[in-house]
Amino acid sequence: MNLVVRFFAINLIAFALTACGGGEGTGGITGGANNSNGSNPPNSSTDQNNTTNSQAVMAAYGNVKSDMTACFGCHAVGGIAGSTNLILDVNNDSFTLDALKNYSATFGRNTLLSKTVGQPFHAGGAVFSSRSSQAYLNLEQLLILLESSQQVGNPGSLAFTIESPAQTFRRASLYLTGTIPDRGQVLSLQNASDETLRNQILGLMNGEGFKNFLKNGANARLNSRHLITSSSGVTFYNKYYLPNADSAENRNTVRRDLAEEPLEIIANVVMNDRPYSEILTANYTMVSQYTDESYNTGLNLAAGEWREAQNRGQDVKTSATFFRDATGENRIMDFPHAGVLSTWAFLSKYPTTATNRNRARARWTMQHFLGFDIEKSATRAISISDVADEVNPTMNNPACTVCHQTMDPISGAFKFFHERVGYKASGTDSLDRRYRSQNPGVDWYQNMRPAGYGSSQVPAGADPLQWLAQRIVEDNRFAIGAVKFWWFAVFGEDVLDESAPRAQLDAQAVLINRLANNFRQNLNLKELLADMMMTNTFRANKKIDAAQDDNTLSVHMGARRLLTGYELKQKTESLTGLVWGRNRPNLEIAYKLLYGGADDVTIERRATDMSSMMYRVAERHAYNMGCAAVLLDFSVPRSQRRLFTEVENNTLNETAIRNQIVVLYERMLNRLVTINSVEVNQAYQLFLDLRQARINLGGSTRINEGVRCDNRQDGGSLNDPNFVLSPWRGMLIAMMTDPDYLYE
Amino acid sequence: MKRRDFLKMTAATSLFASFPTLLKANNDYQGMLVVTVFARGGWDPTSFCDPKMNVAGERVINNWATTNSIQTVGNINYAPFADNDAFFRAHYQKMLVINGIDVKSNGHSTGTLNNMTGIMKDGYPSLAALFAASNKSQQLMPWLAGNSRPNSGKLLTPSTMASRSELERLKRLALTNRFRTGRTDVYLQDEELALIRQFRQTQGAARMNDQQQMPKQRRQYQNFLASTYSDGSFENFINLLETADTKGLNPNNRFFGQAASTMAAFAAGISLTADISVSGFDTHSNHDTRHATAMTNLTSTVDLLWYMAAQYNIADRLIVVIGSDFGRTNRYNNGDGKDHWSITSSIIMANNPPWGNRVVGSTDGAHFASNINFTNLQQDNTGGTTIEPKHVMAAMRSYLNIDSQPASLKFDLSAPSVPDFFNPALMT
Repeated sequence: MNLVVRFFAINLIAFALTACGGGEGTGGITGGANNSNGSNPPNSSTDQNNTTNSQAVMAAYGNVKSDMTACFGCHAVGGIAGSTNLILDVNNDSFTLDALKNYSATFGRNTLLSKTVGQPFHAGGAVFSSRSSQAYLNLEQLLILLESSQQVGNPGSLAFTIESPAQTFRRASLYLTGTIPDRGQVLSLQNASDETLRNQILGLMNGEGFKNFLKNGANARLNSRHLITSSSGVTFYNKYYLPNADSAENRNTVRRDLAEEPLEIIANVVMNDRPYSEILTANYTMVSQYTDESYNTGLNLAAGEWREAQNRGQDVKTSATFFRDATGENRIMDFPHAGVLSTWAFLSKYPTTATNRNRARARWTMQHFLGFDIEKSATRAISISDVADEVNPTMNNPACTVCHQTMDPISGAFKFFHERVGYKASGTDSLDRRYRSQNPGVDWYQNMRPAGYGSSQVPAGADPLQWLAQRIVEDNRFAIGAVKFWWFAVFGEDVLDESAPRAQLDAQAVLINRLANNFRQNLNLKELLADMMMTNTFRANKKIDAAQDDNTLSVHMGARRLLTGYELKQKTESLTGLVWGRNRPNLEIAYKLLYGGADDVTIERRATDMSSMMYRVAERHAYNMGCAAVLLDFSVPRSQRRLFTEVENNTLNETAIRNQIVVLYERMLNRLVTINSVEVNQAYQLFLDLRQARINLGGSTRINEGVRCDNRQDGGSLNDPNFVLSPWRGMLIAMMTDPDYLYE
Repeated sequence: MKRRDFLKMTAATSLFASFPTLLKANNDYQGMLVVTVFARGGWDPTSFCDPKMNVAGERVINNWATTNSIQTVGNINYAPFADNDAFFRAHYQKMLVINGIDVKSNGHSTGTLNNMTGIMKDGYPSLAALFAASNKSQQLMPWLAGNSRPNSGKLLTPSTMASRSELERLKRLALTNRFRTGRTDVYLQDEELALIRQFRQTQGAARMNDQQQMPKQRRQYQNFLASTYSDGSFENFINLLETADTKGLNPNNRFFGQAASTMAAFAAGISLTADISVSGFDTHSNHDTRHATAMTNLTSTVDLLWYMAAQYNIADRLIVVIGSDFGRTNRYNNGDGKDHWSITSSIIMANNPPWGNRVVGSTDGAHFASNINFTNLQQDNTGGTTIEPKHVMAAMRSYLNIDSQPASLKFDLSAPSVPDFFNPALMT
């Protein structure tokens, strides 16, 4: 639909009283998007939201369909209400039922029913004669059945609505790519089937934004960026590091990319659709422009480029001073890569000692990749006499062996990695110096279980860490570990602990197993992520019965989570084209920690809810961006705008302003509202009040009269002769400090 | 939004149901202020508040004991190690030392969990979180958490502990609408600002009060609205932080910075509890050197808390609880380190309380816990009970007067017998 037609349609819908429905419409659906809907009716093929063909629903639909003739006439692709949030298809029952279901779930059953009798506002007037008419009652019955039909995913237990496919897609896009899709694309999915939605989500999984999602999500678990935060601790001793990284700045640059190394391995596997198991079994690592020299790869990579390579820079010097002096005798060793496990960032996150003997590395390997928390698995009181037991208790004392029989063989598999991380520090092993001197000729502690996995020992000739990696990925729990590993990235919180209500714990256990079972089939992480985003846990919208006890719900979370600083920056850039701190994004650098970010050392887990400090950062962000965003958007023709598609810089028409507010709610807050809703009434009043405040201020007619207008890009006049831009500036700031902007 | 505006705006809503104490002004709160200082990694009480000499014929417990002996100030023994001497001499009258606590774990996660919450299972709140939730005040950031994974019990959201090193940014956050400190240019005129804040609160409150919200989303709206209060106390906090006298200690140091921030936040009335951690105690190798460094950081941090509390005239309200994951072995390993040991200690501090200058609980010469009669606190190895973290936690809940609060009752510790640790007449 071209711009003129679209604008005409909007106003026609808003003002004309015709024989059919509409009224909440705000325009903006592109013809192509609608055609997509019309020509590709939903195919409800998954286990959720897949009930619109049930016999009861179809019977109820049959009772009311003939009374909906007027509705079908207008609420159709190309119809006069074709730009509203309700599109029907008289020839496609499944499509229509999904549309009714999604509309009802989004705006409420009563909103839809009220419109059929012309209340509170319906451009099509009253379609049914009264609330007591049979047609009205039949439609009400149908909507009730459709609501309950959403519960089929978990029969009898689901008591909440599911957000619309369009809303799910939008959130998925923000998380997975760091962008808000354009409005037409979002609205085209309003009635999409589960299959279509899932395919659309899968389609998001490419490009730099997706890579960032993968790396940030993985780091939230591995905290491998601890190397960036902490300049102390273990030192990187690769031969080619010290001579070449001859300044603190250069060394920090190398450390930065070493921190990214395990994250790059994961991203490389996923982006290239390789089996997820390769994150542990990869016999390569990822190197950058800054690490390829240290790894002696000879690749000479360009800035920003990452490539698979072997570490050929591992150097061991024969002197007793360890391999600190890289100018000594050159003994380059083959380095057996085991994906993430053999990276410097992973190993140095869990330092070891002569008595720890890689147990932290084993503990976290199980946690991250098997989803198995060994400390929690055997949380029980132990006696001090067990702790004091000096007769090799980890081998003999049941209070200790309960964990150590599982943990210690895995610890042994890390045996060639020294406490300073280096591989085979002595040339043949990485034992502590004292033990080595007392036990010549061995490569692991003889009073400890040998390297292995469960009851299996590492066979002779095999590299222990590579062998361990293979055993882990063959373990059924590897799939469960993957679900738990990515849980935080997708859902924004940890897996529930034992303090959660029983109903939620049970449902969560079922869900994790179901996801893991599917994932195990092909180990494709993209498929797993899409599956996770199709779940009720991701998409739950609102309780159907407000009085229902929260503890009886199978899912406690809703379809929003606090955005990270990075995500908030991306969202704002996507919606406005602007970044707060363009060259050094403030939300990622200067205000990262104050906005609840993790430093991967002192703070390993980012904030998942708002605090006063964080809110102040959000305010500062909005204040800095609001003015520039308005100017930038109004500086281009309406067809090219990101936000202000319904007004010009002199528009004072109430309906146009209300339509614009509806668009802003949808674009900024992912909230679908109608032009006469309470929220829009309040927003419209805010517009008027802000405008009056600006007029009262007097002075010039420039938008920056008495206030700052920072972060301006090229273009965009400061002139505001009609005092219109100024209230929109305030409106954007209000939106950018709204809870639904910060939580999405 | 000013608090009075917020109250006016929400007067007709059910917001008060969620924030029943909103009517109480910040500076109305004159109750206790609680800081827990956690020695992360597992400290060595035998080189601190439960000193042990070496025993002839046995393995060396402490190298310092080969040339030095246990020190005493008042009723409290301490080890001549690191900067202990200055610390104990300065603060012994504030201290209740609890020795011989059996953590019943030598795993870091479980030990930390048990000591922080009083129980070895997930989901329980730390003492600081519980105190903040139980005192339901409207401080902007009631609970500060400087550790990696705070235990909230889902009672409230922890706030990041701001660092003095971020002072310039904090100043900008204190005056979010001002371009820069010292400048008068703003992003919004006052009237615009008031309109926007009113609008935001109105819409946020409506969404929060929508009873159909999923539980997590309702909590999100609650937290959001709570985070938007603005009454000048944050600005005061920044001013106090900037001008703080830190006794010559570098406020940009990550440990001292936590103490300085906490005290400024307490003094400004924006916080009433904090969980501070001081790391470096997991000394499996080179124990003496590394542990001395960690211990000096710990005692300096606690000393700074008291120094600043006096400066801000809040010392009489301050309670400091010092603890750790567990203890360390009564012997050195091959790397001159000490490994994990499930017996530990805790120190409770207040400003010269009647229960100060006392030691309760005990261990034997090899640092095994003795059983205690919980009524008279005397050693009773036949009929007594070993002190566990749950007993310390239960006693603290009682002392802080939060043991009968709903939050405490929800997180029962299964500690039917609460030792009378705070009875000045009793000592082990």
